[in-house]
Amino acid sequence: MSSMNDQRFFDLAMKAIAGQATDAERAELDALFVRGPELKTEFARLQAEVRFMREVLPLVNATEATTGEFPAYARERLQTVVRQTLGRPEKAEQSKPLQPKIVLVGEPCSAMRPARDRAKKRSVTWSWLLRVFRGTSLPVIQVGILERAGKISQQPMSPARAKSRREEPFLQTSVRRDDTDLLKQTWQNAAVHSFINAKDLKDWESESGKKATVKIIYDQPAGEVRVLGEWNGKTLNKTFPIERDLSTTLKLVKNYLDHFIAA
Amino acid sequence: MKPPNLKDLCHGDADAWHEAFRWLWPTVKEVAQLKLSPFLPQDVEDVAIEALEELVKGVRTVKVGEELKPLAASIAHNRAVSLLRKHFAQKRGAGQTQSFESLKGTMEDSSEPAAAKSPLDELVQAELSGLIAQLLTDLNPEQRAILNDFYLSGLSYEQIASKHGLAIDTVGVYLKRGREASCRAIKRQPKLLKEMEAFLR
Repeated sequence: MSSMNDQRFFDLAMKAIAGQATDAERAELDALFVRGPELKTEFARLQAEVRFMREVLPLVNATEATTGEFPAYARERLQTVVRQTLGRPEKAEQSKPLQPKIVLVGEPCSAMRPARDRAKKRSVTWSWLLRVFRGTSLPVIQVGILERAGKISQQPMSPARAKSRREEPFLQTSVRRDDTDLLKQTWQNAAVHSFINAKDLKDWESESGKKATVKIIYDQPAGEVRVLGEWNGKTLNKTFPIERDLSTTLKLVKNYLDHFIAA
Repeated sequence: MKPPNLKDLCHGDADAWHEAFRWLWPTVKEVAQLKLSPFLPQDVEDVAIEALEELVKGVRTVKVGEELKPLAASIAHNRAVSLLRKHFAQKRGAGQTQSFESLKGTMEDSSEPAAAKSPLDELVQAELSGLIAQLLTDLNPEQRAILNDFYLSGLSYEQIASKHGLAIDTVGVYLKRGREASCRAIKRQPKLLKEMEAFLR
């Protein structure tokens, strides 16, 4: 078959397969089948290829999809897989040192720390210390933890799957004891409030108490730590996604609070 | 967004992975949605996350960052197919998985719709990933737009010609070139070639 006839057969076949052929085109195709019976095999091949294209093109297109926000609840789970599979990078640890200050924000007793500890603090800490020794009040720190009651599962589940199983997402896993201890160690004198559902936590978050109050919320389902409150006429409202682990994130939160209070 | 630095990913750099997850998420979610939304829409996100977990484990098999998306798409596809198989097997009450080929004869009276099956379902992840990457390389954006209009949107030759400002005859030429590209890609995947030949018998 000449290349022109070849193209004509292809066009007629494609239109017929897609159900777009006119009666005249259908008759022309039938006439081609009579003259060249081998074209029936070619037609069947094209049918299979059309089906293949309809399956594969959406996958090819998906590689260029850009919509959809990576869900926060999946961060920690995936970063754990990264750590377990690939380990912690030495280079990254060296290039991005985290140097948390030793001062405990919002804890009056922290000013009583031994001199050797205070000597390690960065300059920004001195203004904070001066404030302490001059008797300036400090914000009250409160910690809120969204506890998850019920059975403990290994992996956090998407809200959609949890809903389909007629269970509340917060019932799927539990805040680990280690995590709670870590929060208590970080802000030793802070009041710790535990919540077993997100609504109660939200109500607590939006409660307006004393002006000099800072609330630190560990929201495990959202994979983040939020800092809210007011201090010295300035409003605090910052979210720290838990990207590496809770301990690292708490160090960042603490560092941030130190700077905020000292400023 | 650019492809993440593969070296950083292989070293387990948390920041690089965070960027990679954000970059890959639309792809894995889209693929999971394609397969699961008619039957198991509540599992779309979980399958997408599981696909990213598997990708972390297989990252060292990749040579360049650009290969990550085809790999992620193929993993998400195969995971979704596997979940569908389990789902339909449980629905039949046997609690056993079967190949889609073996199910063909019983499709008419079973609860598993034919739409759940695809010639791609028998490909292993590396083959599917290679196929997607090959088509991405072989089809330029203009060609792909025309193929999408014909195969996925069901537009006629006339409608495509009018949409893209082409002569009607040129539409056929584009489709034929697209076919040639897909044939080249299929020939590189022996298992898929076998599937296609079996279809013709």
